[in-house]
Amino acid sequence: MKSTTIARNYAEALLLAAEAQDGKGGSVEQYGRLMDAVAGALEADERIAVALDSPRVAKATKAALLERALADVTPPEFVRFLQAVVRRGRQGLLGEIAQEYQALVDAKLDRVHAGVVLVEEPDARLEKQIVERLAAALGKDVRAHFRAERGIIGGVVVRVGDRVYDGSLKRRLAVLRRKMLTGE
Amino acid sequence: MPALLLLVQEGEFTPFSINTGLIFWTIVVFGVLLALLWRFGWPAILKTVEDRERRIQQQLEEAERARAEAARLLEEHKRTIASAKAEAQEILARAKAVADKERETLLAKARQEYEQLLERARQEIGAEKEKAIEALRREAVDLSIAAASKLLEAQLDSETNRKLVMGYLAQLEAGRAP
Repeated sequence: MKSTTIARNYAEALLLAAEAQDGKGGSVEQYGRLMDAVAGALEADERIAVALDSPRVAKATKAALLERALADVTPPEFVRFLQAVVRRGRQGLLGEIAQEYQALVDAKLDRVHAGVVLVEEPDARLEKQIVERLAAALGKDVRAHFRAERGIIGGVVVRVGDRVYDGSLKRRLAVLRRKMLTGE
Repeated sequence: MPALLLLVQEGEFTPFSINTGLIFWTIVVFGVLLALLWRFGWPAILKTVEDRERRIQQQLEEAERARAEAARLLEEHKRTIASAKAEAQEILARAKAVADKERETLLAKARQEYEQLLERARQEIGAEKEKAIEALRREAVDLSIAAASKLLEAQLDSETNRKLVMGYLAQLEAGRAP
């Protein structure tokens, strides 16, 4: 079975657990943040990944370590989920599980992620306005990820999934250049 | 002769005196000589003359035949020369015609090649001209765009950019954004 499929199965199980806990979505998002934090920690600190992967460390020890490290800051169901993953030797898929979980949560909440490129870092007001406008334009809840890039000169470039909405001055100048060259 | 000498010595002989005996003997001797000549000399002389005449005739005939042969050969030679001359003329005319035709062909080919070269050169010049104009236009457009880009970078403040962004998102919302 492909790792993506396996990761998706785990992510679906985690989502069911999150929904069963309160069913309001709050825990759903909280679990998402926790999964991102765990995946980020594994990526940032190689020692954690080595410890979890090592066959010298018994699975019971790994489970105990996870419980000791996370019991105070995460719901017990989440810790049990991680222990189950480690027990089955799927700790290498935690990053993919986090991604799949976010995708499931996005689908559940009818939410899209939008990469927004501006010429400079936006202030809070502009961020809010952009998110509102995008939500209205796309008809979905939008989670925007802002990035500054001087190369676009001005305007905005929005990427949602595979689609790119380019309202930058760079593109307008490119269109103008093409028109001037082709005489359209 | 001794008798004649005797007469001369005796003084009785003159050139104009008539001596019958001498006449007689002279006639006898003449007749004998004539008979001898008639019998033996004349046929031989006649035969010689006739042989000579025949030979001369033969030579004349041969000369005539030779002349006729020579005339015939001359005529034939003349005809041969005339024929050769005509043939030569014909060959010359044919060669001239072939040469003319070849010259025309070569000229036509050369003209055609020249036209083709000229046309190709015209096309290449036209293409180069178009390319140069296109490069110039592209250069001018690129310069204009670069200048506009620099100007926009320098002039675009946060508020203007905000309006720009909001305007585009409004288009996006209205479904008119590119």
